[in-house]
Amino acid sequence: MAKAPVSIMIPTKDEEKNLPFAIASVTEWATDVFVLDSGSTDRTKEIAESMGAQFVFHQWQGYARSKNWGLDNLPFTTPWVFILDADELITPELRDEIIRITSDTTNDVAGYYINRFFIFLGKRIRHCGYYPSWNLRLLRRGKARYEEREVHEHMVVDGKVDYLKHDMEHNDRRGIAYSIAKHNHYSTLEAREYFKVLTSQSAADKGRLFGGSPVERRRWVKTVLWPKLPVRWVFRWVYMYFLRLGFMDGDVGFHFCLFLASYEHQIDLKLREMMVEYRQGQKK
Amino acid sequence: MTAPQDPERGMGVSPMHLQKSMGETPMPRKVACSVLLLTLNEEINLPRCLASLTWCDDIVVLDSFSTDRTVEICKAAGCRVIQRKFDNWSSHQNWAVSNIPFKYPWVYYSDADEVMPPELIQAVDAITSAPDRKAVAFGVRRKEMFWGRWLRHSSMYPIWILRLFRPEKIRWERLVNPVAVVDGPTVRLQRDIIHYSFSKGLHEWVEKHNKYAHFEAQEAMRVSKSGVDDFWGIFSVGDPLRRRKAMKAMSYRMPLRPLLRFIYMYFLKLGMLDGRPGLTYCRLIAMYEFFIDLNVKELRRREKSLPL
Repeated sequence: MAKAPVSIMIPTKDEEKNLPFAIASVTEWATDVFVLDSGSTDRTKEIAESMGAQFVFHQWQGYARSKNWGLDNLPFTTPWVFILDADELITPELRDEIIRITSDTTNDVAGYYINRFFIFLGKRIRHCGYYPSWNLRLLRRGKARYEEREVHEHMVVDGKVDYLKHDMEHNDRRGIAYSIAKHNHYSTLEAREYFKVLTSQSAADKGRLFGGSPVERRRWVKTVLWPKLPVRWVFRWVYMYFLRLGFMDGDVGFHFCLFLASYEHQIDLKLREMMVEYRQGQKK
Repeated sequence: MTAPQDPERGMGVSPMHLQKSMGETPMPRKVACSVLLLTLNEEINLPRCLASLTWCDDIVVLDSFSTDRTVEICKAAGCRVIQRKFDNWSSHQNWAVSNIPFKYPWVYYSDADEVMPPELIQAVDAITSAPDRKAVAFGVRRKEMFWGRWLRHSSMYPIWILRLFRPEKIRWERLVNPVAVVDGPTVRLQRDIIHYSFSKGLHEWVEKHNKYAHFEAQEAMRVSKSGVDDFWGIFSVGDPLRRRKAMKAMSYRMPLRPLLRFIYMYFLKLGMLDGRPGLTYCRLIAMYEFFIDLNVKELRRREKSLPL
């Protein structure tokens, strides 16, 4: 089979469990597969090389900067680049669409958004606010870069953008224990953020409800109102399960929404723990 | 010297040597009992725990390769430190009682986040200094502490656990929350130990229970597969261990298990009388049950070789 004029870039760090699936979904039809690694200590390199991918090490500089480094410095030979996370894969339908589009010489689009669905406990999440989820991942080389910020990086495209019809899949195969550990980690960080604002003496940190700008109002909701709401995790669950139609995903939708709610629940309890310690400290 | 009172027959006068353990008196006589202490990164808890174990001159620390100052602290306190890679709870503890040469015929088991109150030390002294004991293992009650408060109701006090035993007479079952199987009579000591399960904070508590949930799910799968549901065990008044085991097995068949667990602890067992820490504790345990359920779901798919 002639290969499509697309190279795949997969950023990794300790991805031995997921990487085989990601590479297997692209290796037969993509011209080159680059695994851009930031210092794995597991079998990531071995897997990449044994499956025919090119393994490149580059020191981690944050999501946006690392990926931009890859876009600028990897020895691409194709006009198109697809950025694939190790816990994602390209479905056969999406593959056919990518091959068709990138082989079309009259095409003048610079970047494509691709929709992504989540797999939770082996089943597809089609609602819950986690779908649709559009990400710009297929781009003409040199026409798109990540905006450099710490998290929630976005792409800036020089030219026309369009949307692909078929979905890619997100499925982290490290299992539920890994997801719980991740939630534990992030909920602690999140609780610390809330704590900082709740105990802050600075009015600017808290925003304003009345008489301020919309930005100040939004900040007030996020930093003053939201952390004080009781049973936030129930709101989160109701929002995902009912308002975002999670119930249409059946049994797995119920558990998925509850799982995300348990994340909110953890933030709540950890914030409470910090406040208990803070008040004890103040009494002394 | 006053003879130690038999704790099985109620409270007595404290032995002199224990009352005078501080101050200018000469070194008190040690209690004729070894201690088995299991650790993994316990530098935070160890000072408090070891301070309650000064009565012992044979503390054996079984460490699962801590990366903090655990080993250093234990050695400085004069403990013997043995390291072994942790596999699961029962196998780890069974290895300890069958391979470690203890100085005394009796062993007191402790976790690093526990504290042994003086009343219990006196009881251990009384038991181990009497020559012929029929009983080979003794149970104590555990007091769960959270945010400075004893969770009297929500922790379902008193839960009995075996802590003092003859090592050749005891083995454990289950991958997590091990259950002791004793070859010989066991006796309940009317004494408490104090458990600071939250001493490292909620982050570590969740991390710990993430691991427990993983093992508990495997246990739940094993029980449901073996089909040994002990239905009548639920009504077993005389044998609370059997009742708890049966209820646990049964509960895995119920939908909304985390919610039921919460209602049971908070309302039926009056966890609401434990104030804010009680409510938080019940919520945490419900979340932990949810983690177990998710792990069970994942295991079921793995066993059927369904895509994950």
